[in-house]
Amino acid sequence: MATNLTRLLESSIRSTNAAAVQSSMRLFSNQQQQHQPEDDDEEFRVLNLRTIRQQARRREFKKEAVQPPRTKRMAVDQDWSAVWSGPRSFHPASVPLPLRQGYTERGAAAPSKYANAELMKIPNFLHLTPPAIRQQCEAIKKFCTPWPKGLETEAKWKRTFPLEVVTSDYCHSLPTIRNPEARRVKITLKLSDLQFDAHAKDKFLRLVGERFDRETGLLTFVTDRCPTRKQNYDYALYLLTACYHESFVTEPWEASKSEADMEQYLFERNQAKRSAEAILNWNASREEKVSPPSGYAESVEQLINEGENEYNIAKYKEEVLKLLKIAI
Amino acid sequence: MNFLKKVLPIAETQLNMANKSALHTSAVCCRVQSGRYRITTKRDRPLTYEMANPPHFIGHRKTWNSWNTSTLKDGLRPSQTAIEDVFIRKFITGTWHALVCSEIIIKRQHNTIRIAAIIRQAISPRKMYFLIGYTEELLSYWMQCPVTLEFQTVADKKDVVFKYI
Amino acid sequence: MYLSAQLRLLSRCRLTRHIASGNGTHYTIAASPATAAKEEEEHIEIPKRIQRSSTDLLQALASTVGRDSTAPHYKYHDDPYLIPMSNVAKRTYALSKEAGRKAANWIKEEHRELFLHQEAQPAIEKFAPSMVYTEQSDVDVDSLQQLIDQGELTDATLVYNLLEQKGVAVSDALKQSLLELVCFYNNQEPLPEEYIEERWFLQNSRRRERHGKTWKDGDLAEKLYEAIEPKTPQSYAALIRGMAKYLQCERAYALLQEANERQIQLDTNTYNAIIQIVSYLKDSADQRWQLCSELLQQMADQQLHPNLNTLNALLECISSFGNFKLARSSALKLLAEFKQLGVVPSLGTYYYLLIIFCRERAPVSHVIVDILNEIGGKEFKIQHPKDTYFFATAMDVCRNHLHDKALAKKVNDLLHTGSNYDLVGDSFKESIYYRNYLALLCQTESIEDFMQTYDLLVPNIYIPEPGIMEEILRAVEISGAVDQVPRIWSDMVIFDHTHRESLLLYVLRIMVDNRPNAELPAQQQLPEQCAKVALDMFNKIEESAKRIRKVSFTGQMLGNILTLLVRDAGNTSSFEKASEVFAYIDKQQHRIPGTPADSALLEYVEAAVVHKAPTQALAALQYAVENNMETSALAKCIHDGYTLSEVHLAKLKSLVGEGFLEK
Repeated sequence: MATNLTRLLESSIRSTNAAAVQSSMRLFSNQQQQHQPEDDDEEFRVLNLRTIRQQARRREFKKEAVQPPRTKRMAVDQDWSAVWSGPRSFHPASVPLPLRQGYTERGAAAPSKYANAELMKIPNFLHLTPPAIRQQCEAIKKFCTPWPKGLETEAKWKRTFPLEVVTSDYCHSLPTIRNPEARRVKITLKLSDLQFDAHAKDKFLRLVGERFDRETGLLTFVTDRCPTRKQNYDYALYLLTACYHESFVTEPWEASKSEADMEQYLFERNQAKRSAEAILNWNASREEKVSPPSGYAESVEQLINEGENEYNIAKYKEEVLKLLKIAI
Repeated sequence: MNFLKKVLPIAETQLNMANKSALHTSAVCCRVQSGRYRITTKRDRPLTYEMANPPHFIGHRKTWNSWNTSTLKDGLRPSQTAIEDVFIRKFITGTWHALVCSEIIIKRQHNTIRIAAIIRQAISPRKMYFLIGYTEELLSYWMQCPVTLEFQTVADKKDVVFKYI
Repeated sequence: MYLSAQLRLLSRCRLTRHIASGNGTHYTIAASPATAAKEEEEHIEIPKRIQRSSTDLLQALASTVGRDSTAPHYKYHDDPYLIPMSNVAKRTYALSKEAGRKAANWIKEEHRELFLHQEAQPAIEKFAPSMVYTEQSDVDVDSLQQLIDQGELTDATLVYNLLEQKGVAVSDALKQSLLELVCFYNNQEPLPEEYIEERWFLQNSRRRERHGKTWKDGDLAEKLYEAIEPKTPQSYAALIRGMAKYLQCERAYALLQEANERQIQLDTNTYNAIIQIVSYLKDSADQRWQLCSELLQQMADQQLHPNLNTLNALLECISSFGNFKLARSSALKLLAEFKQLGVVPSLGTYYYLLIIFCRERAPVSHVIVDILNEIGGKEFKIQHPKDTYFFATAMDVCRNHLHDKALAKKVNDLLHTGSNYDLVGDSFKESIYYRNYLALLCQTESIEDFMQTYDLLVPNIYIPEPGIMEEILRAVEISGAVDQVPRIWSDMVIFDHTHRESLLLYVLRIMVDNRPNAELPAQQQLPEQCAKVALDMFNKIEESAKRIRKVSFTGQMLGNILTLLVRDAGNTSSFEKASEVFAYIDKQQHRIPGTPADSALLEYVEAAVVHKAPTQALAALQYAVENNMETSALAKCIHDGYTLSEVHLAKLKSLVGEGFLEK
């Protein structure tokens, strides 16, 4: 047995270090070498003419022992947010979960997490676990101020803050932080929050044109002609201010507004009034003159401004009958 | 089948024309070859999971290799981003020569670029660290963004093989 | 692409202000008096925005992240193959990465024409190639100013020389700032800021260069100084400080005296620089102290208020006193006086106190207790270069001077308070710190408690050196905790300690001396594990023969390995391995110094009896006879254990003689 072992050691040395065989055999000579048939060179020895080539063989890259994945050393109650603190591609040796991902035919097990590129591709949210979010919220709480008292509902804050400014920020995956779209500024305001007299309101609405939405009563300015947001914001407020102030100015030419320039039919200024008065005051003296009733005036205005429809015509008929005191 | 329905009327007119004119040849327009691998006779072509699933499975069985915002509506720099991604892929496969076993995954968030891949443990860690430092720094000079490498190493190329065809 | 729409509301009063900001005052204010009155009665207080800097939020978020003891430092790649597992690996990996970065930087500078594109908005200067100044560059005063502001020493001097050649006048103020730059760096390009790792691992080389004078006499600094006319206090100050920093002591002091003669008002930091080099100017403690007092008197005459640097410089001077009594008393006086002046000590001050009070040849001092009571739980920022020396020295005092576990824990707590860990210094000081900490703990704590700390620190924060490993093994030996040995052995293999013969012997001795008790369920695995360790060690040593750092077997060592293999009785392969090991001993007996212990051979023979292997047993006996060892016990064991065949019996007789059987 002992000699067998010797042979074993010897042959292993022989295989690794062919040149040293001759000398190392001598070292084992204290025990009688027995004839070993399996080691006997029954074949002819090979004359190797290309020994140099063999010696210059590339040195085998010796791999260092790779340690086991560190998930094995992780405690069950570890602080996960310390392990996975920020966005990072998945790594199987750092995530102690038996994950699998991938499609396989015929019910075979999906590929495991090791060397699985699919798991590395999908953006994971391992850094945004609920405890981590809670911790982070706690940490940035010191930069927050409490919500002001008296502004709990939308109606309340709408009253105190009538003007809304809407701007947009864009976050791209780009080397640049600029986006041309970010310059747009939109301000909205309820028209009822501004104080006007009749002339000013009329003029203001003419000045703002399409920026006023009659249905909602909202006034909207969108500015994008300046390169930066700040400039656009200032410009929007300037527009609002300028239009407002301008609407109170009465220019001399405004007096020359003729009937053709009127944007809507006004009973007061028109022939209908005069005709109605003429009919009512037929042969009446100067003192007894009466003006047509307001109901009539309204129905005429409605008829002309809104156009003829069944209701308006009926109403007009009723008022005319009333005016002329004709009973049916 | 839908494709045939579309093609049929055109083919008919072309057939009619063929009576008059000479032979007309062109490449088959419905042939799709890219991203598909041919089966070998010995069945010994190794495929990774990514290669085993042809491109029409993107979004079903496998996901994209590039993650960025350039393809969204009104996304900026779509062409530059695509070219840069090609550059990154070529740079890394060349710098980490014969070491990359998977596709190179490029994720962009704001101005950072995270590059993930599976690397063979064929060179010593020291050399790998040199390459990591070199790649990160040079790419960030080129892209003018901070670049982070997130590699996973495998002992053998065979670890990433999904099947043989 | 993410889109975030921001809604901002403008309050009524601001809107009114905006709208009424026109010069027309006759318009009505937007809000009617009724609503205005209503608004006033429910006055709404909008809280002021809490001011924060651009990084405050990030810092707050970062503060939620703790240290993960299983992960390597974040500069390393988190992958099993790439996590460093020895001190050498830590160093080479970090430096390799930085070398890669340098290579990339070199390529950027070499092929600058390829890197001139502008992708980033706003542009990041560090990603673009730097400006190159040559002899042909077209330079002006502004570019010099800019270079000085950026701290580009080489370029600044080049540009200055160019300007001089061209005859462009440089203002005195600019010369002064260049003088300050040159004096600060001694006209030597410093290590660039980006190479953090190189700084971190730069150990003793810098300390060595501090010993001698390195100031460049007659160099650019002095020329610049000459060029400034008339001399200003600032130019004196810059030159004196530069000379003092690079240890041109005599001339610095002479300049100070010259300035005093010319009634030039200097500043506190210049005096501090001189105080720092007092120990180079005078030889005996009394003379030094006298010079310090003179300098302080001069400061008082010029109505200069001493600051922290003055205190630290004085303490540094005191720490060089050989007479510990004088040193202690003057240090205490100083502290009291500076406390009155309202100077708050930094960690550097405490470092000096520690080296003044806790000396090897002086009586034991408990000053560290008072210091820790004073600063415990406080957070420090770097204020003085020596601040980073405190923790390593404090731990050293805890271990070597006082040998106090509780104090060491207090120091450790202080280190982990807030951002104090930034003050740990460099890799060298950090490893000194942990070396002392672990050595102290393994001497004073129970092995179970110690292993908990060990698990936290090793290997990602600290990797024990062979000396500390020996301490740990000693602690294991004392407590007989043989169950920890496999774990420690695997660490030793990873940390590359297997070529230390003393450590190997220690491990073997612990395992042999503490024979595991097979009755205890916790120790049932142990014989097998020990056998594995022993076999592993045998293979490692055999392999090491081919390496440069080789370990050679001793008979003692092989005997222990043999014993451990034999003890793993449940496993037949272990016995085969044991026979292999014995065969090795037998073959190599002329090379191996010493012989295995008698007990080892006896155990082997006993095992051979159990496994019914008479050939091996007789071989062991033959070995014992050849080496003049105790043979009777062996022979008896063999004779009693087997019913020997004729051949074996004859051999036994030939070995121990006929007489043995008659006994």
